This record gives sequence, structure tokens and C-alpha cells, in this order.
Amino acid sequence: MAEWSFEYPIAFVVILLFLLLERFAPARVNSIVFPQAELLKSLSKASSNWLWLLRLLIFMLLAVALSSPIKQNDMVLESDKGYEISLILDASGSMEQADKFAIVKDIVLDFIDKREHDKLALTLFADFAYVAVPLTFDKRSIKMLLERVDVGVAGVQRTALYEALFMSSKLFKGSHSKHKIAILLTDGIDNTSKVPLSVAIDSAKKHGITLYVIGVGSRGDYDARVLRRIAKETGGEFYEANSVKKLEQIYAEIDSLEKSDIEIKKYMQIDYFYQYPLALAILMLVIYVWLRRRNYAV
Amino acid sequence: MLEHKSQEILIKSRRNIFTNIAGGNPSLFSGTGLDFSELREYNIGDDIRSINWKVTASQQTPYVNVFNEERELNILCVFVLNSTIYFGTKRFKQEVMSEILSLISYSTLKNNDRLSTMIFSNKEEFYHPPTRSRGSLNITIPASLSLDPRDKKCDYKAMVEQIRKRSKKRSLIFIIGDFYGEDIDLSALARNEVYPIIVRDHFEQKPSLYTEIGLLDTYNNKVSNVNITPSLVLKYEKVLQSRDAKLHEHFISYGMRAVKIYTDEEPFVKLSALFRRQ
Repeated sequence: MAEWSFEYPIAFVVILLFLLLERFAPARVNSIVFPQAELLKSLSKASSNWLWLLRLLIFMLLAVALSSPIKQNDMVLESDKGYEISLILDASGSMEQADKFAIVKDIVLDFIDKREHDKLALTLFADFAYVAVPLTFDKRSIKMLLERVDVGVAGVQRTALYEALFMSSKLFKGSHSKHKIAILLTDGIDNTSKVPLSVAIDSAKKHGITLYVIGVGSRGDYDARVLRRIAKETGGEFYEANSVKKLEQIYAEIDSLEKSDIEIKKYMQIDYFYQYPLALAILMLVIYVWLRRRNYAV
Repeated sequence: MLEHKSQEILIKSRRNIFTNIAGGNPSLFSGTGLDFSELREYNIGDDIRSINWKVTASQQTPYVNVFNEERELNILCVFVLNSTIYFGTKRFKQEVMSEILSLISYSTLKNNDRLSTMIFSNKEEFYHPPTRSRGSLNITIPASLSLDPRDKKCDYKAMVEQIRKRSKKRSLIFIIGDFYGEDIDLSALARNEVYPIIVRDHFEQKPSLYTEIGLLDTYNNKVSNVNITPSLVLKYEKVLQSRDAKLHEHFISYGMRAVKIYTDEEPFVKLSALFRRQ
């Protein structure tokens, strides 16, 4: 996820410049005639080589600091800026018919990819409802999980629709986001009655969730009246999907309806690391100056 | 170069020789030990210091050494021209060397000995054949001052060869130079009496100028930047000392008595001390 790079790689020219200057523009110092210059020069070679190396190292570190090494992380959004979307999927036995669940999975996976700046949650329901993944930016794990679940993870007999709605609503407890959305997808009628419909709707309303409800399959499979009521009372929409294409269109529509404007305020997390080579360079510079100065009479 | 110094040096040397060495010992190096001619039996009135005890003991009668009354010393002064003599903090090494040359020359000529002068770098730059004329000083001293040593490098081996060629008879040889070099071998001159006179400057032996500085080598005109530190100076001194010690050992082993004269010293004082010890 994290990528290392340099902000201004041009700064490495500094090293080249340093070498060129060392070669072609030696420090101008006063000169004296000295009989044994060669001998003195050859004796000083070892220590002056060390100093030269140190000098080169300092410049290299400075160049690295100047080029500003950074670690780029994926965008991390402040939680109250993006959308929070809870995906509620029916995993009851009926979804197995006509390979519905697999198709839904594909479309939802695609949808997850599109909502790259938003927090997502996944709730599955059949005999009972359970939260597979609470609200998170971690798309990878949601996708991984969704790829693996299949019909029957929560039983096959019943459809705990209201309970799923209720539990999904509770996910938003403590959330500060302005845009809370739940997308409920079902092909059945609630028949567990652990949670009454009014309670489920109330809890959704209480948390300010906009519910998009999708009924899949033929008209009789789901209770359109109830689903429409849920959508209406929470300010969302009710869709009916009787074909794959239709379902895709519905998700695309939801996607476009709740387009997040976060992209404009793209927030990239960049960690700067220039201070480490810089600090090291300064330390070495101090050592260099000390080495040069310690011998001189003040 | 330093030609303007020649009169000053000549006058100074003359004053030194004529005023400081008074009485019956007018020369820097007069006296015993050199021009032995024969042995003869002791007569009353002979200096008992000249008794040859070895011979006396074997013959059981006293014998004395007899030296040439009119000894004719051959003295050869060799002025070593090397790029390193172009240096000096108080005075130039070349100038001090010229002064030494002039002191020895004056002394020699005053003593009526035969003096020849040679200036040598890697070849013979100048040679004055044996003479007793004091006028020769007006040639040799300016010559030693005017030759530019900067691009010269002394070849000691060639020098020794040349000296051997020039001094067929046994001579007193003064070699005036700074004796920098690792392959100085004067052993071929051992049959003569050789006095290496080493002229140095204190600063060149201990360059305690702690800074980064360019050092100009006059031989190849190359400036090398050196950061002079106490540790470097210490190392440098050690190398020089070990070289000098080796050189000294070499001189001792061939019975040559060397003297080191620094540019801030009076050459006359040092030379007098050297010859009084004889």
C-alpha cells in the first residue's frame, strides 16, 4: 500500500555538482613555497581521504534530504467527510435460485470498487442477520469476505429482513458522517418477526439513514408494499430488479445519486522522511568541523 | 636572485675571519692532523704532544710526527644546488650556504691554501679550478648566489663521481647543501677528509602552520593543498628524523663529521666550533 518515492529527485544533481566542483574547482588557499611538499602531501593522504569521504557522505545525505523521500499512503479520509454505506444482502435459500446470489455478488463487488472513498459495511441475513464487516475503509477485506460467503451462511429457511435492517442501523451508532446510506437487497418476505417492521424503520430513521431497497426476482417474491414503505420513510428509493441488467442499472443509479464529492478534496497521506538524512548530515557536519578544527590553535 | 647579497656576505665573512680569529691561529682549520710527512727522532725542544707513542714504544727511543711545514692543503668546496634550497624563513638557505662558502673560502685563502669551488646540481653548474687568489671570491660567491635552484634536482651519485674526478689528490672537501634525499652515499669520498655541512630551516623541519594551505614544490611547480595538523607534523618530523639519523650514521661510519646549521644561526659560530674540536 505504502509507496516510497522522492518528491524532487532532481536534487540528486547536487552530488554530481559536488564531485564536479571538487574536481575542477578546488578550494583556493594561500600557498607557500615548501621544500618537502611531496613528502608532506603523501603523509597527509590517508587522513585527507577520510575527510573527503566524510564530505562526500554529508553531501549525499543532504541531497537525499533535499530530494525529500516520502512514503505515500492510500487516501485516508476523515470519517465525517465521506459516505458510510451499509450493504445488506439477502443470503437466504431462495437467492440460490437462478444463480441470483452469485450475480448480486458480482455487482456488489463492482459497486464496492466504485465507492473508493467511502466507508462500507456488510450485513448478511437469512435465518438470522449478522454483521459480516462493520463500517470500514478496508475494501479489501470486505471484498475478500464477500467473495467467500455463499448462500446458507446464515441458514436457508427464513428471511430475517427486519432484523438485518435493525442491526445494520445500529452500525451507524456513534457515526459523525452526514451521509449514511444502507442498500438493502432482498428477494423474500420477512418471516422471523424477531424485530417488528416499525422498530426497524424507526431505528434507521433515528440514525438518519437513507435506505435504498432493491427487490430482486419476480413481483410476488417480495413484499413490494413493505419495501416501498421502508424506502419512503427513510427518504430513499425502492427499486425492482427482475434482470441482471436492471440490477446493474440500479446500483449504477445509486452510485450516481450518492456521488461523493470527496474526490475534489483528495486527501493524500504523505509521510515525510527528509528530517532523518538531514539530521544525520548535520551531525556529520558537526563531526567534520570538529575534525577540521580540533587541531588548530584558536 | 640573491646577487645583491654577495658584497654583504663577503664583507661579513672577512670581518669574521680577520677579527675573530686573531693571533697565531689565523685559520678556521689550521693545526695538526692533516699533512703528515715523516717520523723522526725526538730532539730537545720538540713539542711533546707530537710524540708518536706507538713508534716510540716499539723502537724504545722517542719519535715525533713531523708535519709539512709548508703544507699545501687542497680544499674543495661543493655547493649543492637543489630546488629545496629555495626556501627560508629568517634567511634563504641558499644565502646561508653562500655565507658558509665564503667563510670557508676566506679562511682557506688567508691560510694560503689552494681552493677550488664546485657548484653541482644534476650536472656541474660551475667550477673554479684551484687557486690562491682572493679575487676568485668575487666570482665564486656571486655564482653561488645567482644560480636559480628552483628547477634543479641534485644527483648525489653524479656529484660524488664529479668530485672524484676533480680531486685527484687527497683533499679536504666541504659539501654544503641541505642533504634531502634518501640515497645519499658519500662512501666513495672516504679517502679524503669530508665535511658535510647541512643547512636547514627550522620551519621546514616543523611546519607548525596549522591550517589548510597550498604547498608549492618549486621543482615541478605544483601546488598541493595540504591540511596541516599537529598529528601530520608529528608524522612528518618522525620521517625526517629517521632519514637524518640514517644519514648521520652513514657519515659517522666513514669518519665524516657533519654539522647542521640552521638559517637563523650564525654560520661562523657553528663553523668555528666544528674546527676547534679538531
